[in-house]
Amino acid sequence: MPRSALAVCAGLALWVQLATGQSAASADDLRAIFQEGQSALAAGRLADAERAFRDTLVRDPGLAEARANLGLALFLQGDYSATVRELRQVVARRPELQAAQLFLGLSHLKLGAVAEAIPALERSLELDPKNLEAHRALAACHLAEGDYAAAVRQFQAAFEAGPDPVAGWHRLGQDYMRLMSDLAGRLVVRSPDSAWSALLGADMLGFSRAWEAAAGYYEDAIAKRPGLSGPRAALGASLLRLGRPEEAGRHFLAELELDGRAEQAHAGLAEVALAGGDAGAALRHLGAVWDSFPAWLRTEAAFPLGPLPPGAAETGVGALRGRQGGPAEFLRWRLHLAMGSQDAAELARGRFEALVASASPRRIADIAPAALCAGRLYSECARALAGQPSLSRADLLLLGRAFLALGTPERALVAFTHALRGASGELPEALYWTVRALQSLADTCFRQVESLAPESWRAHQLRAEVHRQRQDDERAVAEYRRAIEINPGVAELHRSLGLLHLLNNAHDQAEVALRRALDLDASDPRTLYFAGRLLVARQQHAEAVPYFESALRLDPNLVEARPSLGRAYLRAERFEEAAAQLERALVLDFYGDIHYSLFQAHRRLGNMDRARQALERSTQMRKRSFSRDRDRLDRWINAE
Amino acid sequence: MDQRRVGLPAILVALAAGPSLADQAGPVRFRNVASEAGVDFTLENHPTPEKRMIETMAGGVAVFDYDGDGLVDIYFTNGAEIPSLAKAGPEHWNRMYRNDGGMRFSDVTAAAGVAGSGYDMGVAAADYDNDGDIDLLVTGVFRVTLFQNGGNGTFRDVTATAGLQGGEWSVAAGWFDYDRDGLLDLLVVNYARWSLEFDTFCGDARRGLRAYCDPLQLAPISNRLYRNVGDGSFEDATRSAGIAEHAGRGMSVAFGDADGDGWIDAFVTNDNLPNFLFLNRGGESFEEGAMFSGPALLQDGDPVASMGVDFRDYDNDGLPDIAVTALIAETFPLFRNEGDGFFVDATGPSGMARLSNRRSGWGIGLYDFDNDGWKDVFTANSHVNDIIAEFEPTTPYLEPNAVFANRGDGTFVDATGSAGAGFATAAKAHRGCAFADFNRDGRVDAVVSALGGPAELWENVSPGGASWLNVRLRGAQSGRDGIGAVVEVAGQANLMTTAVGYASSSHDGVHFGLGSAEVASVRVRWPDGRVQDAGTVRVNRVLEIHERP
Repeated sequence: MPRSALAVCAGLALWVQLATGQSAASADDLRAIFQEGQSALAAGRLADAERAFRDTLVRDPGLAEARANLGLALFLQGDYSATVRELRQVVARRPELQAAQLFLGLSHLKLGAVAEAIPALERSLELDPKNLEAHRALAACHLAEGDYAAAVRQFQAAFEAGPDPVAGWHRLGQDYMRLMSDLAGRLVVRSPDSAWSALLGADMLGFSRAWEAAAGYYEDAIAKRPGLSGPRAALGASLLRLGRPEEAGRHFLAELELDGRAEQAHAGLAEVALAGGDAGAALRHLGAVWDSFPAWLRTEAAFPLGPLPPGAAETGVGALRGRQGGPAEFLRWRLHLAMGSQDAAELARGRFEALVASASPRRIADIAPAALCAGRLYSECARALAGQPSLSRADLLLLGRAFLALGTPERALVAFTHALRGASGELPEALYWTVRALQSLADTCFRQVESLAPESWRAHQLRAEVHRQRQDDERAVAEYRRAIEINPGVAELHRSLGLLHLLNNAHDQAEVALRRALDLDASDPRTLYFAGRLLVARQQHAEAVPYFESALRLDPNLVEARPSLGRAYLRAERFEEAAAQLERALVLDFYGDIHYSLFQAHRRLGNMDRARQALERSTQMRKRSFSRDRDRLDRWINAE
Repeated sequence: MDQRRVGLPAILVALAAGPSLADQAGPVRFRNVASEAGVDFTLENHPTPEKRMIETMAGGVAVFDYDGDGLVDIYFTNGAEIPSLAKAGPEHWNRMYRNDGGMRFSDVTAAAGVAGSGYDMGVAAADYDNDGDIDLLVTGVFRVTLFQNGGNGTFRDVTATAGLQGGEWSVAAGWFDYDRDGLLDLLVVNYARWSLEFDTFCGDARRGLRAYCDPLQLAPISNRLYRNVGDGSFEDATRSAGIAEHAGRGMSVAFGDADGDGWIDAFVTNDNLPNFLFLNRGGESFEEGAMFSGPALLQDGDPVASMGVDFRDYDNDGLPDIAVTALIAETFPLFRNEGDGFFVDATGPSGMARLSNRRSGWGIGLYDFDNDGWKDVFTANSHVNDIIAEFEPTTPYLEPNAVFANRGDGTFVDATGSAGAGFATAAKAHRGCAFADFNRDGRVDAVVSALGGPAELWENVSPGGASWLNVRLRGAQSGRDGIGAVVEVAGQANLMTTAVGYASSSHDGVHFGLGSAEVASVRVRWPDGRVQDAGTVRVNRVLEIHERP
């Protein structure tokens, strides 16, 4: 039996003990067969277990315990329809069997029957409110329904239900990340031409420290929505990191034309001024931020963003002599940090923090929420919005952004997820901000893990993932290996390491890691999917088919495995199956490649009309994505 | 088998199996005789710290009989200084080596007047003016050069009078008679829009590693078609023939009648874009149909770095197939022509996917190296990025060439390891390659260029003594070289073409391996569709067939 499933069983006490009312002799027989089934289940001999429980039920069809365990055996074999058939009968007779309710709900979820899954999972939680699996499954149901707020509530409930805070923060962070990745994918696939899509791509590239590429995407966002405030300052920030202050300065000024209070633009111009040796101008720009929103300077962790010319920090500190006030203390703090003068930096930081705390609140005449938010009076803006009887989608987005600015991403998330409900026209914007809030929340969770258990395997895993995102694979591998040293029994560590090797074409090392992951948990759909990808990478397409099939059988919602399976069928010349899978994968098509594979499948089947349709769509998508990429590259190259 | 019930332990066995590289090798043997043969060419691509993309793509080779003595000579293109793009001295010259017989060659570059003057890349050999000797078209960065063979051992640059335009980064070219007027037309393959001002940093700035940029950063351009007017000049038919509207990143060209309509079609490989199959519509224009026909992409739908190409019938079904080289992990695509103008991706079923998955290739040729009646595949290999190992430690930059022996059942086996001492270990930055029987022993040899290194001359020393036939065509109304004619020998079909591989050209008749046959029936289908039966002939010789009026 897969260890993860065993853990689930142990945690949920699914193993139902037998209580039979049969005669002594036949009861002994029945008990023996039942126990044989349990032993087989424990040993992972699932087919044997299934046989034994079926045998038990032949002798006593009303034995709910046997049927419940039969359901478990079927579930672990990935036969979710059969599980549903059995467990429906169980819960009809024994609704108090929590585990039966849970696995019935999980099976419905696996089959995509969310509406049926929810009541079973809710009943399961009524019986065991601290059940992590039920909370997370219910979250998945809500996600499938697009009810992100409810999903987040379940994630948080799962966190609260867990006994281990480090594990809880880690899991919650990963849940947020998964949701973030799901929503980011939706944004990019559904609205590839949207400015918000480009903006998200740029942010992600920035997180990976791919500043050149990020700058290109910011340019893309600006070209698509010239009136949108934010991307110009972000572009300038990317250019500063690349050591190109002059170009950056032009973009910061352009941002200020759209939004005179833009903090990032003022801070960027302050940095440009510092690079030019003009500490006075730097102070003036920081003063503009201070006047508008002092707290921004506190939360802005990176200043200066780029390399300062040699001696610029020292010159700046010298020019600050005798200057007081928030902007001066902020600048002193940051410059001392840049010079490596920790003590002086700490002193300046303390003075700056005190000044922020004592800064007197501003007032503006216009009390409309939009004006309050534009004026950086975020608390007032949020209060004004919260006082309204109903909020439009635009109001919700404004509210969420106010909460984000106030450093309360969990409240921002609630606002954004409400904005997402039934959104159509504003979907890209709502998706973008929801992703940003989730990213902030995930960061918080992971910081908790770092703080509570910095040498735990979880902390090392998180560091590995950060390195991976930043394309520093060498350090990522080292961190995964350290995590594995601390806890070699965590399948997902081996899986992640295997994937990293696979992406680097280190196939032999990928095989070692993925085999270890499968040894630990042979029923993990993602590991099976990656193992299939490894075989594809080795051109063993026919051999990859059962991996993809198993991955999708165990997790029908693992959508990224579907095009892989379709293509593996295509390579194996199983054209009917290829077409069926590829049809279901079209929603993931971005470049037209899945449509092209579908064209091939239909053509080989002789379905020429459908083949032509698929090819036409593929060509359209290819042209569109090519043109989009080309524009982006041209802008980048021209900027060079 | 019930797939639903596939056991997970069984799956683990499949994962453990891994690729089998221990396949039986074919009896193909080569030995590098370049040094003893006097072929001392070194390809100077002039690598710069700025990593100009042109540096990666030099290296076209032509083999042809320039002096009409019946022995095939060798011509190498060469680079130039950067950024001047001018040949500053003899180290940058393109080089011509005359075949003196007995596998000995002499450098005749200066006397022949073919050193060139710019940063050259590709070459195409053919008798475009039907005067009985073979001419050269050389492609390069912002230039093409037409060297007309004077028939006296010297060439003359007639580019301007021929009306050929430069100005584009032209990688390859191919001669074919698309309108069947007996005059060879010219398709020039252009790579992309690029200038010396393109100086984007690519690579890993953090580690200070500058690498060649991804081709995706260069805007595609169209290829150029020149129609031979017949008076020594050409007219630009790019727009009128429908070529101009298709922009790609062209690397190479090969010709064949893809759809069996009797009109020769052109296949152009594109770097990281769908390949082009220009279907000839009655000699008037072309329709690009690679996507629908199949050879645009592997069936996964992702473009690959398609580089070299050969367009010949590997499975002896009479239909020309398409073999392409690409980069590591992309595999070398093989598109099998299944008739009616459709190609299927046979990369996996033929075994080429597995055999080529860990290789990067440039030049390619489908030739029967062991004369067993089935065409094998030769590839000139290397990655494009000279510091690829900094990014992918398991990916080599320098690679040995490879030879894949045709099993005769639609599949190939890796014969590299047993292809002779030094063949599998000669790791270089190989680029172009061309094929001919230099020593007239009936076995097809190969010449390969390598960036920054000496060229290789691989003499075919395969054992077995199998029969062969080399058919040389002497066209009349079809043009002197008979280019575009299909020769059928003992059930095999092969096209008379010189466009093969990466930016290269092989002009040595049409070769057939014939196993143990002592005689073979021969017939020629000339480009206009007329069939000429040459009867049954003795094997193991060069057979010259003159086109009947």
